[in-house]
Amino acid sequence: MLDTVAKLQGVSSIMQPQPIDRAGGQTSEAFLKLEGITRRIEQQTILDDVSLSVEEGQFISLLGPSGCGKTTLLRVASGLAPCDSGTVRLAGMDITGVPAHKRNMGVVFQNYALFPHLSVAENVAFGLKAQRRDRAAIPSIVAECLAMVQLAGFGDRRISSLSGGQQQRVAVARALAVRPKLVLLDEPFSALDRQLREVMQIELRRLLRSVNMTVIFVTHDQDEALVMSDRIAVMNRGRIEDYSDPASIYSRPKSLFAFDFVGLSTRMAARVVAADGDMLTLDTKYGSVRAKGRFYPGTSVIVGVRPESIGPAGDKSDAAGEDRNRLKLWLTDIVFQGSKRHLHFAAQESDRLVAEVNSAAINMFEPDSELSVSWRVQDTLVFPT
Amino acid sequence: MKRNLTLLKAFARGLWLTLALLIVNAPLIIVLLVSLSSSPIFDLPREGLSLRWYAKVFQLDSIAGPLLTSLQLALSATAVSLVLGTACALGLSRSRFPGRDLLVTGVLSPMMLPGVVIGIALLFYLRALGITNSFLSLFIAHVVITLPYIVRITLAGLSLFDFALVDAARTLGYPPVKAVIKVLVPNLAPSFVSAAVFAFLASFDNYAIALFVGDIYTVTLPIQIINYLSVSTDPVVAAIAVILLFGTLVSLLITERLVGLQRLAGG
Ligand SMILES: Nc1ncnc2c1ncn2[C@@H]1O[C@H](COP(=O)(O)OP(=O)(O)OP(=O)(O)O)[C@@H](O)[C@H]1O
Ligand SMILES: [Mg+2]
Repeated sequence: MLDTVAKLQGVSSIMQPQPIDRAGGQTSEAFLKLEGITRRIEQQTILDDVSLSVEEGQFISLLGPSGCGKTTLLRVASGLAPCDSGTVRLAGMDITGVPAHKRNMGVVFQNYALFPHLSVAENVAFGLKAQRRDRAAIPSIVAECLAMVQLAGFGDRRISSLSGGQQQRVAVARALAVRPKLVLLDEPFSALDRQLREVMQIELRRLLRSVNMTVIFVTHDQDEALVMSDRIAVMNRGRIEDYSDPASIYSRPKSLFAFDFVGLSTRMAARVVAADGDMLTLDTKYGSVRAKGRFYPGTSVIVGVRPESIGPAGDKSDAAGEDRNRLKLWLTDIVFQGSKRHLHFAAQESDRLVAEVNSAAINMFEPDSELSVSWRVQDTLVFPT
Repeated sequence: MKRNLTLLKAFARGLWLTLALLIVNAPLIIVLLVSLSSSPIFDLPREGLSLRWYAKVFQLDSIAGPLLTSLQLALSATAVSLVLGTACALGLSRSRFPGRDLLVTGVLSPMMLPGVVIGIALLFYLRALGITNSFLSLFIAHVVITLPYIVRITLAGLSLFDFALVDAARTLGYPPVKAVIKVLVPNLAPSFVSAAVFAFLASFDNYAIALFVGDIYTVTLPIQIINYLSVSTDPVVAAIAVILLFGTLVSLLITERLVGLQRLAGG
């Protein structure tokens, strides 16, 4: 382990991003700035006025369901696809019209796109040759990059003789070898099994941090996004619905879609019956709850609560003096989740009622019985329908 | 008992295969025998074997000229078709537009239409264009008949090609055209080789179209062989046929070694 870290630090000298010309005094501008990107294909709007700012050295995830436009956004950012309107700015410069081969961005493609006719080393050297680097220097750079992804000695292997995880590492090494200003990764782990995936997630993040790389990482896996990112942009149907750090995305999502997409949670259809300042009183099918928010009385809304915020009424987290919502629910199922268990309650229509409890406390519950639950008013989220 | 039965079955199958091969290849075997005959007429070797007809092939001026013409035509038409056909296949495989399938059928049609039809059509077409140079006419005609082979085999190759490789080459620093050359050409090399072999052979033994488009100054080998047959009855044509047969076999064997028989047949 220590060995790996030392290796990473050892190579970090050659991997430092190139100095950035910040001419124009726009030091406050984000490193990568997408503004109002719109792309249409055959009257279909694939990207709808997408804006995204990424600071230098940050690790950003684009999280969204299949077909929401993640790959398309990466292609626009990397110059592989045009956009109908909007601008792409990198390090203070407008690069909207700059073709892909002049952008110097490292891209790891959805299924790696390694060159099958070349060896591992030749794949890594490909970009160096394109950039007309000193031929004598190429082998040592290639060796360093392969060592960095723990593939030292694999240089002569054929691509087809590598495992999925190894191919993924070659793709990363190939992208990093050219010292890109920015790395774009399109679902790099989607072809890997779960165990390898988790190892690679940590490994890749450490590697990219160690070279202070700015990263945009595409995924449709919420856990992956939460584990890896400094910030997460939640995408839905060609739009960015929320863009924030993982903790905020999780606990204070800005849209119902972001709330639903990141984690299985309690959600109830409700109606605002009273609004006192920003304190709302809402009617659900299971009783009345309160929440903070600004809606007119009479509005139909969705109330959301993260499962771990909800606990059985009267347990130690249900401390006095805290403003809490309380409901009596009918417990139907207890679902084993390793260290945790999910309690599922009888819900009506499209509602869903889930609470999360510690496995240690499991004996307290009996399926097909009534259970009083409570959660803090401040953990109650309200979304327009 | 059972064992004997399987043995018998295997024997029957072997016999059947041998017979089938013999029947299919009988004409070739007969031509080979005729070419080795010492008799001055086109006949099986009854009096003895000799190689004199092979020697005569290389002495005949009337053969050397057309052979050269055919080689020139086949090589130039294949080269030009390779470039045009690859561009055509790239365009067809990368875009979806109304009438695309019709266009594919149109491009491939010379492979299916009777040579006589194409020959007559080209004759009128070239005359309308005012092209009178017969080598140029033949060259255009041979591009028309070789193009479908290139397009078809290259299209099949492209359907297996991952265009993300070109994108990867672009992000690594190659401008679009160079990226295509750097990535597509080595990956499609097997398709190109087999396409070129088929195109070359299609051009080299084309008879019907050259009959219409050529003239007495530009005679291709197949035409000359027919001409020769009408004035002479010696086994020289058999010797030519055997030489061509071996040329074809050798080129097929070499490409088979290079790209594998499966890619050769299916693209
Ligand atoms: N070249 C194209 N022609 C037509 N439609 C396209 C094209 N490229 C993308 N689309 C459409 O744009 C939408 C977004 O595609 P995109 O590949 O960006 O999705 P994605 O978020 O990357 O999905 P996934 O997670 O499945 O990779 C899809 O509905 C897709 O059908
Ligand atoms: Mg995608």
